[in-house]
This record gives sequence, structure tokens and C-alpha cells, in this order.
Amino acid sequence: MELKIENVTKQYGTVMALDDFSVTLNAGVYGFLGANGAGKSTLMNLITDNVKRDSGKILYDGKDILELGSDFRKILGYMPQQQGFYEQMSARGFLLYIASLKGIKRKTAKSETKRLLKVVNLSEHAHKKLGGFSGGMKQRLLLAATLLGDPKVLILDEPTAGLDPKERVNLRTFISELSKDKIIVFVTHVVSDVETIANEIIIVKEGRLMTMGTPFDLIDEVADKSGDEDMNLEKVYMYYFR
Amino acid sequence: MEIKRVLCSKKTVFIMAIFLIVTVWFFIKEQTGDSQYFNQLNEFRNEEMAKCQNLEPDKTVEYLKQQASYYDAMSDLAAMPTLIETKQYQQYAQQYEAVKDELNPEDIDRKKAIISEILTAAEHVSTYEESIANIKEKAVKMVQISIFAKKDSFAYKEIQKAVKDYKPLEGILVNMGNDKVITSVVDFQLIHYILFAFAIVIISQFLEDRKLGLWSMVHSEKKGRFVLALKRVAILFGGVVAITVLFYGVIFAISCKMYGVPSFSRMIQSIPEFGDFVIPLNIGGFIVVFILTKIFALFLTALIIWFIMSVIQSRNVALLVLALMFATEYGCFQFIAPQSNLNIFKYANIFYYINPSDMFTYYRNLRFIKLLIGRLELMYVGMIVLTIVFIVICIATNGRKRPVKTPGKIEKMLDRCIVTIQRPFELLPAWMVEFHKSFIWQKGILIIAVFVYMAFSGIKDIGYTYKQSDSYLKSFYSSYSGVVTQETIDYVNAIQADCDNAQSSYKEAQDQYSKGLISNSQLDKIKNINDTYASKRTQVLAMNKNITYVQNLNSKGYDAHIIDDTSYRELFGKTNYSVDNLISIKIIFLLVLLLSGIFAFEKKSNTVNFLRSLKKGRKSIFRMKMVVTIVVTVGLWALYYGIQLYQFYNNYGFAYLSAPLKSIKIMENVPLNCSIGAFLIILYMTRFVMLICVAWIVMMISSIVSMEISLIASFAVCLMPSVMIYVGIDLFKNLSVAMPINFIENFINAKGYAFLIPIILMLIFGIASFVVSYKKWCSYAEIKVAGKKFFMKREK
Repeated sequence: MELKIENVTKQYGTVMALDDFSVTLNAGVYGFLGANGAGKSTLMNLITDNVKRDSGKILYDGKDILELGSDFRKILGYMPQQQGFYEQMSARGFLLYIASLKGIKRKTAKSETKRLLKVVNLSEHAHKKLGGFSGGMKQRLLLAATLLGDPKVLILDEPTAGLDPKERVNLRTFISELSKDKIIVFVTHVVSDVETIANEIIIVKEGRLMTMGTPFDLIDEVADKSGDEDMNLEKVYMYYFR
Repeated sequence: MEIKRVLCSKKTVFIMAIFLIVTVWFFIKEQTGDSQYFNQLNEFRNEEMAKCQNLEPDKTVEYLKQQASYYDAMSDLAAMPTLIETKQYQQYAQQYEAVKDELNPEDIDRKKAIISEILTAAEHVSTYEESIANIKEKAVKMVQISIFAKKDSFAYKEIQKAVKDYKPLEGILVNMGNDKVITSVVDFQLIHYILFAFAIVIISQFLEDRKLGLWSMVHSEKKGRFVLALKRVAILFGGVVAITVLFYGVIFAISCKMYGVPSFSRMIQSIPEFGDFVIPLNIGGFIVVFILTKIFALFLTALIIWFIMSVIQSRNVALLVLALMFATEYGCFQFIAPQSNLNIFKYANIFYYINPSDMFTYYRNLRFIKLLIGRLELMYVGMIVLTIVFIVICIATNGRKRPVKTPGKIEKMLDRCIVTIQRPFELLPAWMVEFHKSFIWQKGILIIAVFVYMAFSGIKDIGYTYKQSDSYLKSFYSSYSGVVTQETIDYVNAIQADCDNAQSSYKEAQDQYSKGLISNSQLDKIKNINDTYASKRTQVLAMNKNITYVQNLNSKGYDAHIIDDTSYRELFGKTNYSVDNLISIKIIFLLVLLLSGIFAFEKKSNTVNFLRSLKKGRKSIFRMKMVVTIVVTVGLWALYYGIQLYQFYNNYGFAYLSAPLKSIKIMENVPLNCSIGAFLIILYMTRFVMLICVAWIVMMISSIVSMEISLIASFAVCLMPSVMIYVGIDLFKNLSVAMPINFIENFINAKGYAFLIPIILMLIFGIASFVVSYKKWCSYAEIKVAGKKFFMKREK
């Protein structure tokens, strides 16, 4: 299982959103760190084929995702940054709808929905309208929708936005457990979200890959460069964004 | 700032502009009807009025009655010219000779209606003084009857009150004049509901801070409570004044342009409709009172609705309460009889505040417990008292109500009900969710309900008048329809010979009478017999015309049959063009309302990227949306054209379906050689295909722009040119999507196959729209960067 992003470039007018970006991802959690406008969401949109790339390739197991088409989307789970829902639907109704669009059979969809609502602590609110959900509840539901069908590639764009500290910890634990046989791309600008669970951290700045490595490797690298013995990942982030 | 936000926002201004355009359009349409003759008939009305101005009231009535008889006679003679030889019509012989070549039955009917209208006014003016005096005399006589004599009875009180109320009208001077300019404005009902709808828009702007989650912030500000509530009352009043004055000002100006400026010093009671308006006012004063009444009635109605929407925190509960209130009020308004003891609930009713026109035209007293109150008095007193009360409670409610509230028992119960009702919908398959989105979430089902109601209630607008064929003609068509044979010719010749014999006998009798060989009574007897042949002669004329028509076509190499083509001339002919236009406008209107959100809704819900990342998120979703589009189009097409064909069938049946199309006289020059039945299929299937193309255009617009712009753009592109044609403005005729749907006019009148051009263009445009929509959803993506939107094509 390998997702390879090769020399991908994307420009909007005079703004270079991604500049010759390359990275190879295998099973595990990859934390994409970067400031607002660094190009993280553009990259996610390219992987999910919601945006056309100017150049480069995105390959899954050696095949271009554009050629794979719906076969790639079958194993993809995408949690967008913006919460988009049908306010009039109930939580269960929304999950069943998404399940049907993922091609999951009705019987399996019902049991999966029940299980995932329990996982994200929304079983009590299963039949309530989404219009009455708080931001955190919507975020948890969106995660549940993303996990339907057991996707192999998970793109989570700011998944902890709106969650309280306890929920953030739960989410991190949950994702960590999933990562054994999945490629999980965790996009965030909050360092603490990924420092304990990410196998590798990828720092993106102004559309370019600044650095990539395990948290310990990055800490050691920047500590050597800066001479700071009390280095941590937060400081590594600040180092690249000074 | 608040006034700017509520009354001057883009949304408010835009809605006001649309409402104004709709109001003006419907007003003009209501006045002009068949716009081709409006100016001509207006001139006729003005000429007749001018003649009446110079006559005494009694002479005016006499003159108008003579005119009415004249037009009745001309109408009969136009239908049956041979009637001129009968005694009854001979007085009109000279006048008939002068105009017989130009006689048009429809024109005569229109003029008759105008004469009747002026006659009613003249009779009203000539008898008004007497009728007012009669009220007192009648009252004196009635109180002598025992059942009315009891002084504490309602009957007695009503009689006395009527005398008292009508007393100010004694001795007022009424005279004829320009009534139409006032009655057209007061009788225009739609404006009341449009102004009411606009008041709702203002209220919705007040409640927007709740919708946007800003209520807590606003409520915590220094001037965010009572001061704001007071400002909003002032804004509501100001808004109501502004729109009432503007809308009525515009339609009054249009009415003056159409009918002329009225004399403002003339008494309003001069107009028959206002004969029972018991306040003696001139027209100028009446206009002021009418507008002020309208302003305060609308203001009060808006205050009531604002109060309910403010005091009830839950929007669903508030809407439920409003719905119940309106349903109850409507029930009382509609079903309580005017004479009922409960009639106070009929007349002290919110619907009379929404539409107060009736107050000025009917005099009525109402019973309330032991009191007898006049309708007008009730209205004005009620309006003043209730307005003050609701101003106070609206300020108090909006000033005191806190944003955060624990849901009450009713709200909790309603929430539970909604959850229970919603449960079955959770199990809907994905394709049914698409229908759910259009018909339930986007309120589509309400729109459909309204238009199904309009489709059925407007049946008389698209109905056909059954014309009973005369007996000989009926027999001719039933026995001799089809190809012209010698038998057909012999049959007609036999009837013709019979008519000729009667005529000869009469001529011979005239000759004998002149020689003194027969008496006058004998001549009369023979003349009467000859008169009875008038109808038969007309029918033989029609039969011969039919035969000649068919033979002409046969000689040119075309197949044609003798048929009674009255029904098909009604369906395909000029008289039906405006009906067909109206049907297509209604269908297009519905298509735009139902389909403008088909893709735009996903953008509004922010679900585009998420859905497109799913396995079945592209082509499958597109297919599902296509199914909705087609089902909606089929439904509307079947509903409206189904009603049209059902009515046609009810009136005429589907006769002569296998006869050649050219058997219908108006189809003489059409390029198509097929049967009538085949043509009906081609016609309605073409309409269906054209409607599908319109639906695809709306779908394409929806896939490109946001929800609000989609609706506006679809109206602008699909509906406006068609509406303009209907009103009589042909500027955008070639851009109208209604043209290829109603291609009959072109088919009959254009040369050769030119009628196909708009159809082919529409087909091309429709298919192109389909392709663009497909590519937009399945291949295109959209992303916002630094406030700009970019559209990118998918790489192959």
C-alpha cells in the first residue's frame, strides 16, 4: 500500500499553492503541519481529485489516481476541513446516505452506522437533526462518515477542530489504533495533535516540503542546528516558521 | 444602520423590485386581457362616455339601452345574416347594411360588455338619490311590522342604524365619470398579498440575528433591547408606508395612463361599487382614506406575525402556531355565513386586514353579544386599539426576551414528533434522498401543492366553450365526414333546393300580394315559413364551404376530409395561443422553482467536495439528479397538458383522429402531411422534449452558480422573455424558451419548415446544457483561494 505524490505543482493565478511537491506515504500516520495557506488543503484536494494539478503525478500502488477513478475513491476516506451537512437529516440518516454512496450494502451499512455512532459517542443523538448539533458533534459525525466502509487511505483535514481536550485525546488514540493497515494523512496546524501519534511529520511551508521525518529525528535535527537542548516539536515548528 | 440593514439590503431591494414587476405585470394583464383590442375598446368606452356626459341621467339610460339592443341585434345578425329578413330585425336593416362586411362577433361581444358596464353606472347615478331616500321610507314601513317593532331587538336596531348611517349620503351629488381608473385599482386583489409577503420579508430581516446566531451578541449590547425593538417598530411602519404608497402609486399611475385621470372632486358614491360606502367623500378623499386604511391594516397584520415569531423561541412551534391561526381565521372567513350570529368572526378577521377592499363596497352591521357594530366602525376601532396594543407588546417582548431558553414542553413534544416522523426517511435509498432534497428540504412540495391547486382551479381559464352544431350540420358531419363523394354533394344540393324552394315561394307570394291575389295575413304566413329557413340556409352555406375547401386541397394533390374542425381550431388556433403561452409560463416557472437548487443546494450545504470524493459521488449522483429532473418535468407536463386534453376531451371528444391534418382549415398551408392523431402525438411529445431542454438549462445554471443566483439567473434566462411575450412585448421573442414549446403559431403561419429552427436551437442548447452540467459535477471541481473561485477541468 503506497501513495506517491511526485513533483506535483498547483498554481492559482500568481499564487503558487504547491511547488514541485513530492512525498511517498505508506501505512501509518503522517502529520502534515503548516500555517494557514501553506498548501495543505490544496494537497488534500489534489489527492481527492477535487482539484486539477498543473503538473506531476499522484500514484496509488503505482497507478495514477485519475486512471483509477472510482476504484481509488472506493478505498478513500476524506474528512474535509469545512463541515458540510444536510441540516434536515438525522445523524443516522446522514451516515446511511453516505454509506449508500460508498457502495456499502444496506445490511452492512446499518450495522456499521450503529457501530461508528457508538465509537464517536453519538448513539444517543442518532435520530436528531444535524441542524441541532454542536460544532464538536458535527465533527465527530463527519469522522464517522469518513470511516464508513473501512477505507485504506484516510485524509483528515483539521479533524480536531471544535473538539474538547478529552475528545481530542480520544480521537488521537482511535486514529493511532487504525494506522496499522491504513495510510492516514492528518492535516493540522496544532502540533500537539500529531506529536504523539504520527509516524512521520511533514512540514509544509509556502507550497514546499520543508522537512520530513519522525518526531524524534526532527527534534534532533533542529536541536543540532539551533543548539537548543530543550527542543520539542513545537519549537521545531516555530523554527521553520520564524 | 438597522434601517439600512432591513430596508436597503440587496436582498430586500431585489425582492421589492421583483414584487413590483410582478404586481405591475399582473395589473396590466388584468386590465388589458387580450391586449390587441384594449386601446380600441378604451377609445370606444371614452366615446360612449362623452356622448353620455351631454345627456340628462334619464336620457343617458335610455340611450344606453338602445345601444345595448343594437349590439344584441348585430351579434345575432353576425351569427345568422339571414335574420335580417325577419320582422324583429328589420329596424336595423340600414345600420346592418353599412357594417355587415366588418361585423366581428367577438368585437361586438366586447362592445356589448362595455355598454353594459356604462349602463349599470348610468342606472346607478339616475336612481341613487331615490334609493337613499327609500332607505328611510322602508325603515318607517318595516318598524310597523311586529317582528321588527321590538325596540330592544337586533332587527329594530339594525334598521335604525342603517337610517342613521345612510343619512350623510342624502342630497350628495352623484354623476357619471371615469369609474374604471378607481375600480381597476381597488379591485386588484393580488397587490394585497404581495404587500403582505413583503411585510413578511421585513419581519424575516428582524429575525435574521437569531438565524445567524447573533442574538446573544445583539441582546448584550446597550441599545440591543428596547431601543432596538422601538427602532424596528418604526422601521416596520416606515417600510409598510413606503411600499404601500409606492406600489399603489405605480398602479394608480398606470391606471391613469390607461383610462385617463379621474375627477378628484367627484363623489365616490357616483361609482356603483361604492354606492354603499356610507362616508360621503370625494374621490380624492377616498383615495387617501383607502391608502391609509391599507397602511394601518398591513402594519397591524405584520405586528401580529412579528409578535408570534418573537414570543415563541422555537421557529417550528411559531410556524405551527401561525399556521393554526391562519387556518382558523380562514375557516371563519370562508365558512361563516354573512347573516350568521357568528358573523363577527367572519368580519373581524385577519384576512380582512390583509385585503380590506371589501370594507368599502359592502354595508353590513355585525352582532357581538348585545352590541350592534358596523363593519367599518369595527375595522377602524379594532385597527387603532389593536395596533397600539401590539406595538406595546412587540416592544416589550423583543426587549425582554432572552436568547437562551430551556425548551418548553410544547417545543420538546414538537421535537419528539419531528424525530418520530423523520425516522422512516433515514432508510431512504440514495436516489430517493435526491427527491427528498428537492421536494421536502427545499420546500418543493409546497410549491407543487400551490401550483397543482392553481392548475385545477384555473381550469376555466384554459377551458373550451362547447359549440353545439346545428342539427343539419350535425347530421352532415356524422353521415358525410370523410372524402367528398357524389352522395355528399347530392345531400347538400337537396337541402339547398329545399331552401331555394322556400325562398321562391316567398317571392311568389310577395308578387301575388302586390297584385292583390293574396291577403296580408297569407303573405305573413308564407314569410314566417321562409324565416324558419334562415338557420338552414346558414348551415348549407357552411356545408358548401367545407366541400369547396376539401375539393381545392384534393385538386392540389393533398389529402383532406370533411370534418367538423371547430374543436381543433379552438385547440390549435389563435384564440388558444395566449392560453398555451400561459401554460408554458406556469410550467417553466415551476421548473425553475423546483430545479434551480438541484446542484446549487449541494454548494449551499458545503457537501460538494465530500460527495465527489465518494465512490458513487460523481456519475451516480448525477444520474440520480437527472432522474429527479425528468420526473419533475414529466409530472408538470402531464399535469398541465393532461388537464388541457382532458377538458378538450370532455367538451368535444377526440373525433377524426385518422383524418388528414389539412382537413382542419387553419392547417391548410402546413408542411406536414399526417393524420390529426399523429400530429397530436408529435405536438405533445415535442413540448415534452422542449421542456426537458428547459429543465437541463436550469440544471446547468444550478451547477455553475450559487443557490440564490441560480434562482434569479434561471428566471431571467428561462422565464422573463416568455413573460414579456405574454404581455405583448416581442423584443425577446427569439430568445424565449416558450417559443419552441408553443411552436403551433409558427407551424401554421411560417413558411415551410422555418418553424423547426427554434426547436432545433432549443435542442442544441438543451443538450449542451446537459453536457456542461455533467462535466461540472463529474469532471469539474471548484475551489476558493483568497476570495477568488477557479474552475478546473479534469485531466484525462
